[in-house]
Amino acid sequence: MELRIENLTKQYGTFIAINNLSAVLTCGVYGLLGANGAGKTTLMRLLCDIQLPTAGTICYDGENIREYGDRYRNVLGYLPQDFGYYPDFTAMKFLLYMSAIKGLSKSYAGQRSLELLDEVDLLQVKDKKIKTFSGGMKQRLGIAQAMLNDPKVLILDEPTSGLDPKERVRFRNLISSFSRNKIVLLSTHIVSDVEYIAGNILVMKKGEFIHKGKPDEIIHTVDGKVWECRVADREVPSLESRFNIGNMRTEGENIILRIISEEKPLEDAVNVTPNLEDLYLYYFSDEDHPQ
Amino acid sequence: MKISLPRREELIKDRRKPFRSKRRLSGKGLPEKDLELETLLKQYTPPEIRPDIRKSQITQLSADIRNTDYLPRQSFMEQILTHMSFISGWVWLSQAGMLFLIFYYIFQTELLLLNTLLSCLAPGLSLILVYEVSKSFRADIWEMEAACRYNLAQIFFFRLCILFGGDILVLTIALIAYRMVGGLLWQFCYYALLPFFLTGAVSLHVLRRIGNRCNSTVIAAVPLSVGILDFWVMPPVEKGFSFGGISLSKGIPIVTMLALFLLLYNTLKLCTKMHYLNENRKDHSAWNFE
Repeated sequence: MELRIENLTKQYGTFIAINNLSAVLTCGVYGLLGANGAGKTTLMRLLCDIQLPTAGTICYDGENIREYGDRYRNVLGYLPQDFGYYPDFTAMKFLLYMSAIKGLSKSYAGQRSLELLDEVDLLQVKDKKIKTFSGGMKQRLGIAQAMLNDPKVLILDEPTSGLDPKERVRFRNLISSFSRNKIVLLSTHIVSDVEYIAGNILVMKKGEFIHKGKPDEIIHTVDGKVWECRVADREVPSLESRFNIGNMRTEGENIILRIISEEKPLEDAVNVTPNLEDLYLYYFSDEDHPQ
Repeated sequence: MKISLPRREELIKDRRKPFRSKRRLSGKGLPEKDLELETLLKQYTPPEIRPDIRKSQITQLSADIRNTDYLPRQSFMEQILTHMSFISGWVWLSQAGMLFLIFYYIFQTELLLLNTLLSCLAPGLSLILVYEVSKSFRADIWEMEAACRYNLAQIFFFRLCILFGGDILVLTIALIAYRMVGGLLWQFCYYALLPFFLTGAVSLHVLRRIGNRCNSTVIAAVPLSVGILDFWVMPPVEKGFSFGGISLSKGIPIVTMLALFLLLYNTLKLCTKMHYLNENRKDHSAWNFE
Protein backbone atom coordinates (compact mmCIF):
# COMPACT_ATOMS: atom_id res chain seq x y z
CA MET A 1 0.00 0.00 0.00
CA GLU A 2 1.41 3.35 -1.00
CA LEU A 3 0.34 6.89 -1.63
CA ARG A 4 2.50 8.44 -4.31
CA ILE A 5 2.66 12.19 -4.76
CA GLU A 6 4.22 13.16 -8.07
CA ASN A 7 5.18 16.70 -9.05
CA LEU A 8 2.19 18.11 -7.20
CA THR A 9 1.60 21.81 -7.67
CA LYS A 10 -1.21 24.00 -6.45
CA GLN A 11 -1.43 27.57 -7.55
CA TYR A 12 -3.87 30.27 -6.43
CA GLY A 13 -3.69 32.86 -9.15
CA THR A 14 -0.04 33.82 -9.24
CA PHE A 15 0.64 32.44 -5.79
CA ILE A 16 2.16 28.96 -5.56
CA ALA A 17 0.96 27.20 -2.42
CA ILE A 18 2.38 23.77 -3.29
CA ASN A 19 5.42 23.69 -5.46
CA ASN A 20 6.26 20.53 -7.36
CA LEU A 21 6.05 18.15 -4.40
CA SER A 22 6.99 14.53 -4.75
CA ALA A 23 6.94 11.84 -2.09
CA VAL A 24 5.97 8.25 -1.52
CA LEU A 25 4.08 7.44 1.66
CA THR A 26 3.89 3.81 2.78
CA CYS A 27 2.54 2.29 5.99
CA GLY A 28 3.48 4.28 9.06
CA VAL A 29 2.95 7.60 10.78
CA TYR A 30 4.19 10.68 8.96
CA GLY A 31 4.47 13.98 10.78
CA LEU A 32 4.07 17.06 8.64
CA LEU A 33 5.90 20.00 10.14
CA GLY A 34 5.68 23.51 8.85
CA ALA A 35 4.81 27.05 9.78
CA ASN A 36 1.46 28.68 9.13
CA GLY A 37 1.01 29.07 5.40
CA ALA A 38 3.63 26.50 4.47
CA GLY A 39 0.99 24.66 2.46
CA LYS A 40 0.18 21.84 4.89
CA THR A 41 -3.59 22.22 4.76
CA THR A 42 -3.59 22.60 0.99
CA LEU A 43 -1.54 19.41 0.68
CA MET A 44 -3.95 17.56 2.95
CA ARG A 45 -6.95 18.77 0.99
CA LEU A 46 -5.30 17.65 -2.20
CA LEU A 47 -4.61 14.25 -0.66
CA CYS A 48 -8.29 13.99 0.27
CA ASP A 49 -9.39 15.02 -3.24
CA ILE A 50 -11.27 18.00 -1.79
CA GLN A 51 -9.20 20.35 -3.89
CA LEU A 52 -7.86 19.95 -7.40
CA PRO A 53 -4.14 20.22 -8.09
CA THR A 54 -2.93 22.66 -10.70
CA ALA A 55 -0.43 20.06 -11.85
CA GLY A 56 0.83 16.66 -10.79
CA THR A 57 -0.89 13.54 -9.53
CA ILE A 58 -1.63 11.64 -6.36
CA CYS A 59 -1.84 7.89 -6.81
CA TYR A 60 -3.09 5.33 -4.34
CA ASP A 61 -1.67 1.90 -5.12
CA GLY A 62 -0.75 3.06 -8.58
CA GLU A 63 -4.12 4.57 -9.52
CA ASN A 64 -4.91 8.28 -9.59
CA ILE A 65 -7.16 9.13 -6.64
CA ARG A 66 -9.42 11.17 -8.88
CA GLU A 67 -10.17 8.07 -10.92
CA TYR A 68 -10.36 5.93 -7.79
CA GLY A 69 -13.27 8.14 -6.65
CA ASP A 70 -15.44 6.64 -3.94
CA ARG A 71 -13.22 3.55 -3.72
CA TYR A 72 -10.45 5.85 -2.50
CA ARG A 73 -12.78 7.69 -0.14
CA ASN A 74 -13.84 4.30 1.29
CA VAL A 75 -10.32 3.86 2.63
CA LEU A 76 -9.86 7.48 3.65
CA GLY A 77 -10.27 9.09 7.05
CA TYR A 78 -9.92 12.84 7.32
CA LEU A 79 -9.96 15.31 10.17
CA PRO A 80 -9.83 18.90 8.87
CA GLN A 81 -8.16 21.74 10.70
CA ASP A 82 -11.27 23.86 11.17
CA PHE A 83 -14.56 22.13 11.33
CA GLY A 84 -17.97 22.44 12.88
CA TYR A 85 -20.87 20.21 13.72
CA TYR A 86 -24.60 20.23 13.31
CA PRO A 87 -25.39 21.74 16.69
CA ASP A 88 -28.62 19.81 17.23
CA PHE A 89 -26.87 16.46 16.77
CA THR A 90 -25.81 14.35 19.72
CA ALA A 91 -22.37 12.72 19.65
CA MET A 92 -23.90 9.36 18.78
CA LYS A 93 -26.17 10.79 16.09
CA PHE A 94 -23.23 12.62 14.56
CA LEU A 95 -21.18 9.42 14.31
CA LEU A 96 -24.17 7.58 12.86
CA TYR A 97 -24.59 10.37 10.32
CA MET A 98 -20.92 10.24 9.35
CA SER A 99 -21.20 6.44 9.12
CA ALA A 100 -24.19 6.83 6.81
CA ILE A 101 -22.32 9.11 4.43
CA LYS A 102 -19.30 6.84 4.63
CA GLY A 103 -21.66 4.11 3.43
CA LEU A 104 -21.22 1.85 6.46
CA SER A 105 -23.88 -0.72 7.27
CA LYS A 106 -26.23 0.24 10.11
CA SER A 107 -25.31 -2.64 12.39
CA TYR A 108 -21.59 -2.02 11.95
CA ALA A 109 -22.03 1.75 12.35
CA GLY A 110 -23.81 1.44 15.69
CA GLN A 111 -21.24 -0.94 17.10
CA ARG A 112 -18.23 0.96 15.75
CA SER A 113 -19.57 4.32 16.96
CA LEU A 114 -19.90 3.01 20.50
CA GLU A 115 -16.40 1.52 20.37
CA LEU A 116 -14.89 4.78 19.17
CA LEU A 117 -16.84 6.92 21.64
CA ASP A 118 -15.39 4.70 24.33
CA GLU A 119 -11.88 5.05 22.91
CA VAL A 120 -12.08 8.84 22.86
CA ASP A 121 -13.70 8.90 26.30
CA LEU A 122 -17.05 10.30 25.20
CA LEU A 123 -19.25 7.29 25.86
CA GLN A 124 -20.82 8.88 28.93
CA VAL A 125 -21.92 11.91 26.93
CA LYS A 126 -22.98 10.09 23.76
CA ASP A 127 -26.56 11.35 24.05
CA LYS A 128 -25.64 14.97 24.80
CA LYS A 129 -25.87 17.60 22.10
CA ILE A 130 -22.57 18.61 20.55
CA LYS A 131 -23.27 22.29 21.17
CA THR A 132 -22.74 21.60 24.89
CA PHE A 133 -19.29 20.10 24.29
CA SER A 134 -15.97 21.79 25.06
CA GLY A 135 -13.38 22.36 22.32
CA GLY A 136 -11.39 19.29 23.37
CA MET A 137 -14.47 17.08 23.35
CA LYS A 138 -15.37 18.27 19.85
CA GLN A 139 -11.83 17.55 18.71
CA ARG A 140 -12.01 14.02 20.11
CA LEU A 141 -15.32 13.48 18.36
CA GLY A 142 -13.66 14.64 15.14
CA ILE A 143 -10.91 12.09 15.62
CA ALA A 144 -13.52 9.40 16.22
CA GLN A 145 -15.37 10.19 12.99
CA ALA A 146 -12.13 9.98 11.01
CA MET A 147 -11.63 6.41 12.23
CA LEU A 148 -15.17 5.16 11.66
CA ASN A 149 -14.47 3.29 8.43
CA ASP A 150 -11.19 1.86 9.72
CA PRO A 151 -9.33 3.85 7.05
CA LYS A 152 -6.18 2.70 5.31
CA VAL A 153 -5.19 6.33 4.77
CA LEU A 154 -5.73 8.63 7.73
CA ILE A 155 -5.13 12.34 7.28
CA LEU A 156 -5.24 14.51 10.38
CA ASP A 157 -4.83 18.26 10.15
CA GLU A 158 -3.82 19.69 13.51
CA PRO A 159 -5.56 16.91 15.45
CA THR A 160 -4.21 17.80 18.87
CA SER A 161 -5.05 21.49 18.88
CA GLY A 162 -7.45 22.17 21.71
CA LEU A 163 -6.55 19.01 23.60
CA ASP A 164 -5.08 19.19 27.09
CA PRO A 165 -1.80 17.30 27.79
CA LYS A 166 -3.60 14.23 29.14
CA GLU A 167 -5.84 14.07 26.11
CA ARG A 168 -2.85 14.55 23.83
CA VAL A 169 -1.06 11.58 25.37
CA ARG A 170 -4.24 9.54 24.99
CA PHE A 171 -4.54 10.65 21.37
CA ARG A 172 -0.91 9.81 20.63
CA ASN A 173 -1.41 6.30 22.00
CA LEU A 174 -4.60 5.94 20.01
CA ILE A 175 -2.85 6.89 16.78
CA SER A 176 0.10 4.62 17.53
CA SER A 177 -2.17 1.66 18.15
CA PHE A 178 -4.18 2.49 15.08
CA SER A 179 -1.34 3.08 12.67
CA ARG A 180 -0.38 -0.55 12.02
CA ASN A 181 -0.74 -1.32 8.31
CA LYS A 182 -2.01 2.18 7.61
CA ILE A 183 -0.72 5.42 6.20
CA VAL A 184 -1.20 8.15 8.79
CA LEU A 185 -0.31 11.72 7.93
CA LEU A 186 -0.65 14.25 10.67
CA SER A 187 0.22 17.89 10.60
CA THR A 188 0.78 19.75 13.79
CA HIS A 189 2.50 22.70 15.35
CA ILE A 190 3.02 20.71 18.51
CA VAL A 191 6.46 19.35 17.85
CA SER A 192 6.42 16.86 20.72
CA ASP A 193 3.42 15.07 19.20
CA VAL A 194 5.36 14.39 16.04
CA GLU A 195 8.47 13.47 17.99
CA TYR A 196 6.63 10.78 19.94
CA ILE A 197 4.56 9.05 17.31
CA ALA A 198 5.85 9.84 13.84
CA GLY A 199 8.23 7.35 12.30
CA ASN A 200 8.88 9.74 9.44
CA ILE A 201 8.86 13.49 9.24
CA LEU A 202 8.17 15.77 6.33
CA VAL A 203 9.34 19.31 6.85
CA MET A 204 7.51 21.76 4.66
CA LYS A 205 8.41 25.33 3.85
CA LYS A 206 6.99 27.61 1.21
CA GLY A 207 5.10 24.76 -0.43
CA GLU A 208 8.10 22.45 -0.68
CA PHE A 209 9.48 19.56 1.33
CA ILE A 210 12.79 20.78 2.65
CA HIS A 211 13.44 17.54 4.52
CA LYS A 212 12.04 14.04 4.50
CA GLY A 213 13.15 11.21 6.70
CA LYS A 214 13.24 9.62 10.10
CA PRO A 215 13.28 12.00 13.10
CA ASP A 216 16.88 11.14 14.02
CA GLU A 217 18.12 11.68 10.47
CA ILE A 218 16.38 15.03 10.20
CA ILE A 219 17.54 16.20 13.59
CA HIS A 220 21.12 15.48 12.52
CA THR A 221 20.79 18.24 9.92
CA VAL A 222 21.06 20.75 12.75
CA ASP A 223 23.95 19.01 14.50
CA GLY A 224 26.47 21.55 15.73
CA LYS A 225 24.01 24.40 15.47
CA VAL A 226 22.46 24.23 18.93
CA TRP A 227 24.31 25.84 21.82
CA GLU A 228 23.78 26.32 25.49
CA CYS A 229 25.38 29.11 27.47
CA ARG A 230 25.10 30.71 30.88
CA VAL A 231 24.65 34.47 30.80
CA ALA A 232 23.77 37.30 33.11
CA ASP A 233 20.24 38.67 33.11
CA ARG A 234 21.26 41.97 31.50
CA GLU A 235 22.88 40.27 28.48
CA VAL A 236 19.68 38.50 27.41
CA PRO A 237 18.03 41.35 25.41
CA SER A 238 21.09 41.89 23.22
CA LEU A 239 21.49 38.15 22.61
CA GLU A 240 17.79 37.84 21.81
CA SER A 241 18.12 40.47 19.12
CA ARG A 242 21.19 38.80 17.59
CA PHE A 243 20.37 35.10 17.87
CA ASN A 244 17.55 32.62 17.58
CA ILE A 245 16.80 31.72 21.19
CA GLY A 246 15.17 28.34 21.67
CA ASN A 247 14.80 28.11 25.40
CA MET A 248 15.55 30.13 28.47
CA ARG A 249 15.68 29.00 32.09
CA THR A 250 16.83 30.72 35.24
CA GLU A 251 19.45 29.09 37.44
CA GLY A 252 20.32 31.19 40.46
CA GLU A 253 21.64 34.57 39.34
CA ASN A 254 22.18 33.45 35.74
CA ILE A 255 20.10 32.43 32.81
CA ILE A 256 20.75 29.35 30.69
CA LEU A 257 20.04 30.07 27.06
CA ARG A 258 19.56 27.55 24.31
CA ILE A 259 20.66 29.25 21.12
CA ILE A 260 20.22 28.00 17.57
CA SER A 261 23.05 29.46 15.51
CA GLU A 262 25.39 28.45 12.71
CA GLU A 263 28.33 29.90 14.63
CA LYS A 264 29.35 29.74 18.24
CA PRO A 265 27.38 32.60 19.80
CA LEU A 266 29.59 33.14 22.87
CA GLU A 267 33.01 32.07 24.06
CA ASP A 268 31.66 29.79 26.78
CA ALA A 269 28.78 28.39 24.69
CA VAL A 270 28.63 24.59 24.64
CA ASN A 271 27.40 22.54 21.73
CA VAL A 272 24.41 20.40 22.74
CA THR A 273 22.41 17.60 21.15
CA PRO A 274 19.59 19.04 19.08
CA ASN A 275 15.98 17.97 19.28
CA LEU A 276 13.03 18.36 16.95
CA GLU A 277 12.02 21.66 18.49
CA ASP A 278 15.47 23.06 17.71
CA LEU A 279 15.07 21.87 14.15
CA TYR A 280 11.72 23.60 13.91
CA LEU A 281 13.18 26.82 15.26
CA TYR A 282 16.15 26.57 12.94
CA TYR A 283 13.96 26.39 9.85
CA PHE A 284 10.99 28.44 10.93
CA SER A 285 12.37 31.05 13.32
CA ASP A 286 11.40 33.83 10.95
CA GLU A 287 7.82 32.57 10.72
CA ASP A 288 5.89 31.37 13.74
CA HIS A 289 6.62 29.54 16.96
CA PRO A 290 5.81 25.99 18.00
CA GLN A 291 3.80 25.33 21.12
CA MET B 1 38.23 -27.79 6.36
CA LYS B 2 37.58 -27.60 2.69
CA ILE B 3 33.93 -27.72 1.63
CA SER B 4 33.32 -29.44 -1.67
CA LEU B 5 30.62 -27.76 -3.68
CA PRO B 6 28.72 -29.64 -6.41
CA ARG B 7 30.03 -28.99 -9.86
CA ARG B 8 28.02 -26.91 -12.33
CA GLU B 9 27.47 -29.92 -14.66
CA GLU B 10 26.05 -31.97 -11.75
CA LEU B 11 23.62 -29.22 -10.84
CA ILE B 12 22.36 -28.92 -14.42
CA LYS B 13 21.97 -32.71 -14.61
CA ASP B 14 19.91 -32.71 -11.35
CA ARG B 15 17.66 -29.97 -12.65
CA ARG B 16 16.85 -32.08 -15.70
CA LYS B 17 15.55 -34.97 -13.58
CA PRO B 18 11.76 -35.21 -13.88
CA PHE B 19 9.73 -34.58 -10.69
CA ARG B 20 8.52 -37.79 -9.08
CA SER B 21 5.93 -37.69 -6.31
CA LYS B 22 6.73 -39.93 -3.40
CA ARG B 23 2.96 -40.54 -2.88
CA ARG B 24 1.57 -43.46 -4.84
CA LEU B 25 -1.20 -42.50 -7.23
CA SER B 26 -4.27 -44.66 -7.77
CA GLY B 27 -5.77 -45.43 -11.15
CA LYS B 28 -8.15 -42.46 -10.89
CA GLY B 29 -5.29 -40.10 -10.29
CA LEU B 30 -6.14 -39.71 -6.57
CA PRO B 31 -3.58 -40.59 -3.92
CA GLU B 32 -4.37 -43.93 -2.28
CA LYS B 33 -5.09 -42.37 1.11
CA ASP B 34 -7.71 -40.07 -0.42
CA LEU B 35 -9.27 -43.02 -2.21
CA GLU B 36 -9.51 -44.90 1.07
CA LEU B 37 -11.19 -41.91 2.66
CA GLU B 38 -13.61 -41.61 -0.24
CA THR B 39 -14.58 -45.29 0.06
CA LEU B 40 -15.01 -44.91 3.82
CA LEU B 41 -17.28 -41.86 3.45
CA LYS B 42 -19.41 -43.65 0.85
CA GLN B 43 -20.29 -46.30 3.45
CA TYR B 44 -22.13 -43.72 5.55
CA THR B 45 -25.13 -41.62 4.54
CA PRO B 46 -24.97 -37.97 5.57
CA PRO B 47 -27.30 -37.03 8.46
CA GLU B 48 -30.58 -35.31 7.62
CA ILE B 49 -30.56 -31.66 8.71
CA ARG B 50 -33.85 -30.58 10.22
CA PRO B 51 -35.36 -27.82 8.04
CA ASP B 52 -35.80 -25.41 10.98
CA ILE B 53 -32.15 -25.78 11.99
CA ARG B 54 -31.06 -25.37 8.37
CA LYS B 55 -33.18 -22.22 8.03
CA SER B 56 -31.92 -20.67 11.29
CA GLN B 57 -28.33 -21.47 10.34
CA ILE B 58 -28.76 -19.80 6.94
CA THR B 59 -30.34 -16.73 8.60
CA GLN B 60 -27.49 -16.56 11.10
CA LEU B 61 -24.86 -16.91 8.40
CA SER B 62 -26.52 -14.27 6.24
CA ALA B 63 -26.58 -11.86 9.20
CA ASP B 64 -22.91 -12.60 9.88
CA ILE B 65 -22.05 -11.92 6.24
CA ARG B 66 -23.95 -8.62 6.39
CA ASN B 67 -22.05 -7.64 9.53
CA THR B 68 -18.72 -8.56 7.99
CA ASP B 69 -19.48 -6.54 4.88
CA TYR B 70 -19.45 -3.16 6.54
CA LEU B 71 -19.37 -1.28 3.26
CA PRO B 72 -22.40 -2.75 1.52
CA ARG B 73 -23.82 -1.58 -1.79
CA GLN B 74 -26.95 0.38 -1.07
CA SER B 75 -29.91 0.91 -3.32
CA PHE B 76 -31.08 4.43 -4.12
CA MET B 77 -34.12 4.04 -1.87
CA GLU B 78 -31.97 2.81 1.02
CA GLN B 79 -29.75 5.86 0.64
CA ILE B 80 -32.73 8.20 0.50
CA LEU B 81 -34.25 6.66 3.62
CA THR B 82 -30.93 6.87 5.44
CA HIS B 83 -30.52 10.55 4.57
CA MET B 84 -34.14 11.29 5.41
CA SER B 85 -33.49 10.40 9.04
CA PHE B 86 -30.86 13.15 9.20
CA ILE B 87 -33.01 15.95 7.74
CA SER B 88 -33.68 18.58 10.40
CA GLY B 89 -37.06 18.29 12.09
CA TRP B 90 -37.86 21.96 11.55
CA VAL B 91 -38.05 21.34 7.78
CA TRP B 92 -41.05 19.03 8.12
CA LEU B 93 -42.61 21.32 10.74
CA SER B 94 -42.26 24.37 8.47
CA GLN B 95 -43.76 22.56 5.50
CA ALA B 96 -46.64 21.35 7.65
CA GLY B 97 -47.05 24.90 9.00
CA MET B 98 -47.32 26.27 5.45
CA LEU B 99 -49.97 23.74 4.55
CA PHE B 100 -51.87 24.63 7.70
CA LEU B 101 -51.74 28.34 6.78
CA ILE B 102 -53.02 27.64 3.26
CA PHE B 103 -55.88 25.49 4.54
CA TYR B 104 -56.70 27.97 7.28
CA TYR B 105 -57.13 30.87 4.87
CA ILE B 106 -58.32 29.09 1.74
CA PHE B 107 -61.92 28.71 2.84
CA GLN B 108 -62.12 32.00 4.74
CA THR B 109 -60.64 34.64 2.55
CA GLU B 110 -61.12 35.88 -1.00
CA LEU B 111 -58.94 34.63 -3.85
CA LEU B 112 -56.91 37.83 -4.17
CA LEU B 113 -55.63 37.60 -0.60
CA LEU B 114 -55.02 33.90 -1.02
CA ASN B 115 -52.93 34.61 -4.10
CA THR B 116 -50.85 37.09 -2.15
CA LEU B 117 -50.38 34.51 0.59
CA LEU B 118 -49.28 31.90 -1.94
CA SER B 119 -46.84 34.27 -3.62
CA CYS B 120 -45.20 34.90 -0.25
CA LEU B 121 -45.16 31.27 0.88
CA ALA B 122 -43.71 29.87 -2.34
CA PRO B 123 -40.29 31.57 -1.91
CA GLY B 124 -40.49 30.41 1.72
CA LEU B 125 -40.57 26.81 0.48
CA SER B 126 -37.41 27.50 -1.53
CA LEU B 127 -35.82 29.10 1.49
CA ILE B 128 -36.44 25.97 3.56
CA LEU B 129 -35.01 23.81 0.79
CA VAL B 130 -31.84 25.79 0.20
CA TYR B 131 -31.30 26.44 3.91
CA GLU B 132 -31.37 22.72 4.66
CA VAL B 133 -29.27 21.76 1.65
CA SER B 134 -26.62 24.33 2.53
CA LYS B 135 -26.31 23.27 6.17
CA SER B 136 -23.00 21.56 5.43
CA PHE B 137 -21.45 24.93 4.60
CA ARG B 138 -23.23 26.82 7.34
CA ALA B 139 -22.16 24.33 10.01
CA ASP B 140 -18.66 24.18 8.50
CA ILE B 141 -18.79 20.41 8.22
CA TRP B 142 -18.52 20.26 4.44
CA GLU B 143 -14.84 19.36 4.43
CA MET B 144 -15.44 16.23 6.50
CA GLU B 145 -18.39 15.28 4.33
CA ALA B 146 -16.49 15.84 1.10
CA ALA B 147 -13.94 13.19 2.12
CA CYS B 148 -16.61 10.51 2.63
CA ARG B 149 -17.81 7.77 0.29
CA TYR B 150 -20.87 9.83 -0.64
CA ASN B 151 -19.18 13.13 -1.29
CA LEU B 152 -20.73 16.56 -0.97
CA ALA B 153 -22.31 16.57 -4.43
CA GLN B 154 -24.00 13.24 -3.71
CA ILE B 155 -25.12 14.39 -0.27
CA PHE B 156 -26.68 17.48 -1.87
CA PHE B 157 -28.42 15.24 -4.37
CA PHE B 158 -29.96 13.04 -1.67
CA ARG B 159 -31.07 16.06 0.32
CA LEU B 160 -32.58 17.73 -2.74
CA CYS B 161 -34.47 14.56 -3.68
CA ILE B 162 -35.99 14.35 -0.21
CA LEU B 163 -36.78 18.05 0.07
CA PHE B 164 -38.20 18.34 -3.46
CA GLY B 165 -40.39 15.37 -2.60
CA GLY B 166 -41.76 17.22 0.44
CA ASP B 167 -42.24 20.42 -1.57
CA ILE B 168 -44.07 18.62 -4.38
CA LEU B 169 -46.39 17.10 -1.79
CA VAL B 170 -47.11 20.50 -0.23
CA LEU B 171 -47.67 22.15 -3.62
CA THR B 172 -49.94 19.32 -4.85
CA ILE B 173 -52.14 19.55 -1.76
CA ALA B 174 -52.19 23.34 -2.08
CA LEU B 175 -53.16 23.05 -5.77
CA ILE B 176 -56.04 20.70 -4.99
CA ALA B 177 -57.32 23.08 -2.31
CA TYR B 178 -56.84 26.06 -4.62
CA ARG B 179 -58.86 24.43 -7.38
CA MET B 180 -61.59 23.55 -4.87
CA VAL B 181 -62.21 27.23 -4.14
CA GLY B 182 -62.32 28.15 -7.83
CA GLY B 183 -58.72 29.17 -8.50
CA LEU B 184 -57.39 28.64 -12.01
CA LEU B 185 -54.38 26.49 -12.88
CA TRP B 186 -52.43 29.31 -14.52
CA GLN B 187 -53.06 31.49 -11.46
CA PHE B 188 -51.58 28.77 -9.26
CA CYS B 189 -48.60 28.62 -11.61
CA TYR B 190 -48.25 32.38 -11.42
CA TYR B 191 -48.57 32.78 -7.65
CA ALA B 192 -47.04 29.55 -6.36
CA LEU B 193 -45.03 27.54 -8.86
CA LEU B 194 -43.26 30.34 -10.68
CA PRO B 195 -41.90 32.06 -7.53
CA PHE B 196 -40.94 28.65 -6.09
CA PHE B 197 -39.06 27.53 -9.19
CA LEU B 198 -37.39 30.89 -9.78
CA THR B 199 -36.21 31.43 -6.21
CA GLY B 200 -35.08 27.83 -6.02
CA ALA B 201 -33.09 28.15 -9.25
CA VAL B 202 -31.44 31.42 -8.24
CA SER B 203 -30.68 30.22 -4.69
CA LEU B 204 -29.10 26.98 -5.91
CA HIS B 205 -27.08 28.95 -8.45
CA VAL B 206 -25.82 31.25 -5.69
CA LEU B 207 -25.05 28.27 -3.48
CA ARG B 208 -23.02 26.65 -6.23
CA ARG B 209 -21.13 29.83 -6.98
CA ILE B 210 -20.18 30.78 -3.43
CA GLY B 211 -19.47 27.25 -2.21
CA ASN B 212 -17.84 27.12 1.17
CA ARG B 213 -18.23 30.88 1.70
CA CYS B 214 -21.98 30.41 2.00
CA ASN B 215 -23.70 31.76 5.10
CA SER B 216 -27.23 32.14 6.41
CA THR B 217 -27.62 35.77 5.32
CA VAL B 218 -26.74 35.07 1.71
CA ILE B 219 -28.98 32.01 1.62
CA ALA B 220 -31.95 33.91 3.07
CA ALA B 221 -31.45 37.01 0.90
CA VAL B 222 -32.68 35.55 -2.42
CA PRO B 223 -36.01 34.03 -1.29
CA LEU B 224 -36.78 36.98 0.97
CA SER B 225 -36.19 39.50 -1.83
CA VAL B 226 -38.37 37.49 -4.20
CA GLY B 227 -41.06 37.14 -1.54
CA ILE B 228 -41.18 40.90 -0.94
CA LEU B 229 -41.10 41.58 -4.68
CA ASP B 230 -43.95 39.13 -5.24
CA PHE B 231 -46.06 40.80 -2.59
CA TRP B 232 -45.91 44.19 -4.33
CA VAL B 233 -45.51 43.32 -7.98
CA MET B 234 -47.53 40.22 -8.80
CA PRO B 235 -51.15 41.32 -8.18
CA PRO B 236 -50.86 44.58 -10.21
CA VAL B 237 -49.04 42.78 -13.04
CA GLU B 238 -51.83 40.18 -13.23
CA LYS B 239 -54.40 42.94 -13.85
CA GLY B 240 -52.57 44.96 -16.45
CA PHE B 241 -50.47 42.37 -18.27
CA SER B 242 -50.31 42.40 -22.05
CA PHE B 243 -47.37 41.19 -24.08
CA GLY B 244 -47.84 41.05 -27.84
CA GLY B 245 -51.33 39.73 -27.51
CA ILE B 246 -50.28 36.74 -25.34
CA SER B 247 -52.61 36.39 -22.39
CA LEU B 248 -51.42 35.42 -18.94
CA SER B 249 -53.31 32.14 -19.06
CA LYS B 250 -51.18 31.07 -22.02
CA GLY B 251 -47.91 32.80 -21.20
CA ILE B 252 -47.60 31.83 -17.55
CA PRO B 253 -47.48 28.03 -18.03
CA ILE B 254 -44.72 28.50 -20.60
CA VAL B 255 -42.75 30.79 -18.29
CA THR B 256 -43.31 28.35 -15.42
CA MET B 257 -41.94 25.50 -17.50
CA LEU B 258 -38.89 27.59 -18.30
CA ALA B 259 -38.42 28.33 -14.61
CA LEU B 260 -38.73 24.61 -13.84
CA PHE B 261 -36.09 23.88 -16.45
CA LEU B 262 -33.84 26.49 -14.86
CA LEU B 263 -34.35 24.92 -11.44
CA LEU B 264 -33.54 21.45 -12.73
CA TYR B 265 -30.48 22.76 -14.55
CA ASN B 266 -29.12 24.38 -11.38
CA THR B 267 -29.94 21.29 -9.35
CA LEU B 268 -27.99 19.18 -11.82
CA LYS B 269 -25.04 21.57 -11.77
CA LEU B 270 -24.98 21.63 -7.97
CA CYS B 271 -25.07 17.85 -7.75
CA THR B 272 -22.31 17.29 -10.27
CA LYS B 273 -19.84 19.88 -9.03
CA MET B 274 -17.21 17.91 -7.17
CA HIS B 275 -15.20 20.62 -5.51
CA TYR B 276 -16.87 23.36 -3.55
CA LEU B 277 -13.79 25.01 -2.18
CA ASN B 278 -13.74 28.58 -3.29
CA GLU B 279 -10.28 28.87 -4.69
CA ASN B 280 -10.19 32.55 -5.53
CA ARG B 281 -8.07 33.29 -2.51
CA LYS B 282 -7.84 36.90 -1.54
CA ASP B 283 -5.79 36.33 1.58
CA HIS B 284 -2.33 36.16 0.02
CA SER B 285 -1.02 38.59 2.61
CA ALA B 286 -1.91 36.11 5.36
CA TRP B 287 0.91 33.87 4.17
CA ASN B 288 3.43 35.10 6.61
CA PHE B 289 6.66 34.07 4.94
CA GLU B 290 6.43 36.41 2.01
